Amino acid sequence: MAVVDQAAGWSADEAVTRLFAAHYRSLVRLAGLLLADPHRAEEVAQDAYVGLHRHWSRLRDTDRALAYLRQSVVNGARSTLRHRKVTERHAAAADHRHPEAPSAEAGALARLEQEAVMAVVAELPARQREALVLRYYADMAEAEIAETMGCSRGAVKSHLSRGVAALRVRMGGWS
Amino acid sequence: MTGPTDHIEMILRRALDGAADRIEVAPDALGEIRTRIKARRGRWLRRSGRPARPYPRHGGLMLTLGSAVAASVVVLAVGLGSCGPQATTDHLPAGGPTVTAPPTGGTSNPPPSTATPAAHTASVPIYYIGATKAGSRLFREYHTLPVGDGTTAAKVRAALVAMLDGRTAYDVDYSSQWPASAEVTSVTVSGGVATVDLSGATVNADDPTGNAAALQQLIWTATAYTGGTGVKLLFDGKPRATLWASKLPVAGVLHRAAAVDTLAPVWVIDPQEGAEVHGPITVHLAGIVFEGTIQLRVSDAFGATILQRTVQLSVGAPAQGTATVTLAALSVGAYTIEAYEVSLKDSTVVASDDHRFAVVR
Repeated sequence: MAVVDQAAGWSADEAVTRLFAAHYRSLVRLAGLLLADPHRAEEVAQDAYVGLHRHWSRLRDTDRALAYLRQSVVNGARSTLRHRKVTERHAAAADHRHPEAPSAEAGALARLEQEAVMAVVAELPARQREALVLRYYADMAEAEIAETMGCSRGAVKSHLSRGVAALRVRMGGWS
Repeated sequence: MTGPTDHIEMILRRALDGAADRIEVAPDALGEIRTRIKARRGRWLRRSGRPARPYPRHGGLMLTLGSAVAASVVVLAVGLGSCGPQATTDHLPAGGPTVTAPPTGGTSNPPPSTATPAAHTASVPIYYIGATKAGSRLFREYHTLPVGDGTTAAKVRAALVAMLDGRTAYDVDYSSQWPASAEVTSVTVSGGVATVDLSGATVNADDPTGNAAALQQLIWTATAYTGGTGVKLLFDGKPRATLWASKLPVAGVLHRAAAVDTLAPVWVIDPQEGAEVHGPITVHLAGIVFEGTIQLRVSDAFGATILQRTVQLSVGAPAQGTATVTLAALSVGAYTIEAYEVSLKDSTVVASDDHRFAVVR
């Protein structure tokens, strides 16, 4: 509770600074996994912090603030995808599949497998991708995912099982 | 012991972690965020032609305002039959906000002006989608837009053009869930029914909740004029039975769904996002909340609360109640006004809306 009490006393500027240090990198990465566009991912994460500053008087709690930041990132990613033309989305996804050469230590096979998985993830319906990223990257529980995505736990379960099923079908050769 | 699902989950975790590790962050991201926060704070004053300058320290502001505001707050609950904002019928343009000048944030907004709008512009209500705990719900903003020859059809068309591009919303928390390619081809109005022909609108994200909200967003916007009752939709000149993957029925005349299922539980109607006000501030609130009880808070640019009180709306859920609150003049500066509903069960905020506005001389 000491943390909560401390957060309640933070100014909006202080909250942004402290929560930036704690969560910014993971939020940019979350946005990056949802969008496959690193530059836009930074903008989406920064939008979340600008919004956090604005809403701090209502949040004043580190857990609620983190939930707010995650929701903002998911909503920002949705909004970006909605406005991105279909052709651009495909081009970005294609670029994402062929990034820089694998590093020596990564292992070529592991890297190939990762790229193949990410290519499938990029082509999933947006809600399935969100659910998978929040569950398997952000390690969130179903209830937290439901809150972040603004849907029911039942819908989260359905998105997760469909997403995993689609991956299983498409990744058969790797398992 | 590892089953096929566990195995695919392991592969997925590994791939996501690997992909995430390759996403780098900008070295001065915190500086960039601070610059953007500062720009938001300064925007209000710059817009009025004065250079941005430091805001008064909030300690002093609270001393100045504390007693004055508390002493002069007047709450007037207004009935649905009054000239205040209403739940189901919006009047073009008489129901528009009385305090705000049009903000300049959106891409299709007219230039800021406190003068009488030029001929052929009108204040039109536009519904946008915002996230609430109940899912995607509608919020309303008034935009002063060029409206061609000023006919009802021209006003509906102007409102729909702005609505389809959700980025026109003054409040960054609001958006549209229509496909980016959607455009208005034509609008005709006859006997309270607007016939709207759209192009590029038949493919959208597979999102049943968002799609249903998007359709209502259009219906509420296109029936916001006095006497408006329904909408007929055409797509590239032809009617359709259903729309999008969620197969929303769109044949025949479409009507507004129930407010309680469609509108956000809490609206701050006035001041609008980005508004500039001076003198006593008239706050218009609306809400579909338990027993019509809503909380109002005004905070300064530093996030310090300078006013907090309970407001009784004209009526409780499931109807949309409204209230007008008059606040004493505030010092020049940027403020945030929030209205929110608090759960009786656990005191959490269950619904809220907020707008930033600036007090100018």
